[in-house]
Amino acid sequence: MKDIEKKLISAVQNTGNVSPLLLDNIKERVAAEPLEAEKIKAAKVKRGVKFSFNFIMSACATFVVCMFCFYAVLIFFMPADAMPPNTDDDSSTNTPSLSDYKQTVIDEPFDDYCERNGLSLLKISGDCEFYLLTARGEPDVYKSVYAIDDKKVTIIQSTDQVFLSDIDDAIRNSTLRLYYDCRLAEELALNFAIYENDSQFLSLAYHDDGRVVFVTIDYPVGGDDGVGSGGKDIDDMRSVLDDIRKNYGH
Amino acid sequence: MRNKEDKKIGKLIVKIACGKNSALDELFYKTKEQMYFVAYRYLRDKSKISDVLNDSYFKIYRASASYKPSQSARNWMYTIVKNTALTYTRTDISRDESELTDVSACSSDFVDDCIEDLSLKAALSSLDTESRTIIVMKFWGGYTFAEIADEMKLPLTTLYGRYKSALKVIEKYIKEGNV
Repeated sequence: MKDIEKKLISAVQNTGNVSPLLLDNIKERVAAEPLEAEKIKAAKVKRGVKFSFNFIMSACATFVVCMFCFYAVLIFFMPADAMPPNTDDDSSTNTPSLSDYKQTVIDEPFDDYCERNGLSLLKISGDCEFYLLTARGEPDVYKSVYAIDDKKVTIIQSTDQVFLSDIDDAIRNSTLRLYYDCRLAEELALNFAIYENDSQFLSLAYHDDGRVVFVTIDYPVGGDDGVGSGGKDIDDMRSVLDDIRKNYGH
Repeated sequence: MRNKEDKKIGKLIVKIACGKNSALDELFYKTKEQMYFVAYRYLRDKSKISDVLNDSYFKIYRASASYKPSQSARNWMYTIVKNTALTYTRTDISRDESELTDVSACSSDFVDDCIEDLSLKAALSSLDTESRTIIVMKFWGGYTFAEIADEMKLPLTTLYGRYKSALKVIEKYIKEGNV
């Protein structure tokens, strides 16, 4: 406010138009005719109701704002590992996250890679076309073989060398466990194969624009209780593929 | 839009309604100059203003229970003072109602009749009619810029510009030693 405005306000207050005696006259009239007790009581009730309403409304608004701020501060300062687990997942298995994957990008044809690393990639034609990827030259080593056809992925485990006839039999065997629905792979436009690089870890390989990408999931899979008894289930695989899709833009 | 001052006045009226007569003193001292201007505006007769204000404040006291805190307290009081003043005016058949509502003429008369400080009176008289009206309505009438703009049918920005110019003229008048 400018000085001149202050001066004018001061001038207004000192104008002296209204005599101080006027207030005394008004008070005399007020004393002679006071407000009725009922009117005062009604006004007090109205004021009390309004005050209570305002108080409750402001208390509620304050509470909501405080809770919002509290949670905002809590989330901001809470370390990532202190976050509560996702309760939506009722699976007893550990769902792998991206940090669990060891990824290897190979800039060479898949067949060449398999050849160089002593891996066999077999393609069997027939009603159920599928790939077989397994370690070559180690027939006595405990193996798990994942067969992928255009309809389903089947896990076949054996303590013996895997023969093609085993796979044929396994596919025809109604007790085989459906491990993974290949339609998801089609959606992702992935041409992939799954293999186990040793008896403890599961790897997933897929073609991506001519390259082969290996994603290793660092947790044990498989079991020793026979065919189709993979330690991890389809949800794990789905989760892996979902993450691949997010990570590589598929 | 109600300002803080108006809300304070509203709270005082509510207190009066609740039987706190001491609030009447505070209300009187806060509003007496503005109510004086309103009474003068509709009365133009200094001799009757005291009676009008006496009646008006008593009516405000009696009607305090009917005041709704959501409404503008100042406008509510202005209406009471205006109606009281008009009641007094109706006895004077020589006054034309349009004359009473002409706020420009009112402001000029107000400066002549009611401002006793000669230097201030001279400073205000040096202004053109429109600027003088704005200053008087703002400071003595207690009106907001929006209310004055509405009353004088001027755009708000124009009015504010003229208000600033008027202040400069008064300031210059004082600096030059005329006041």
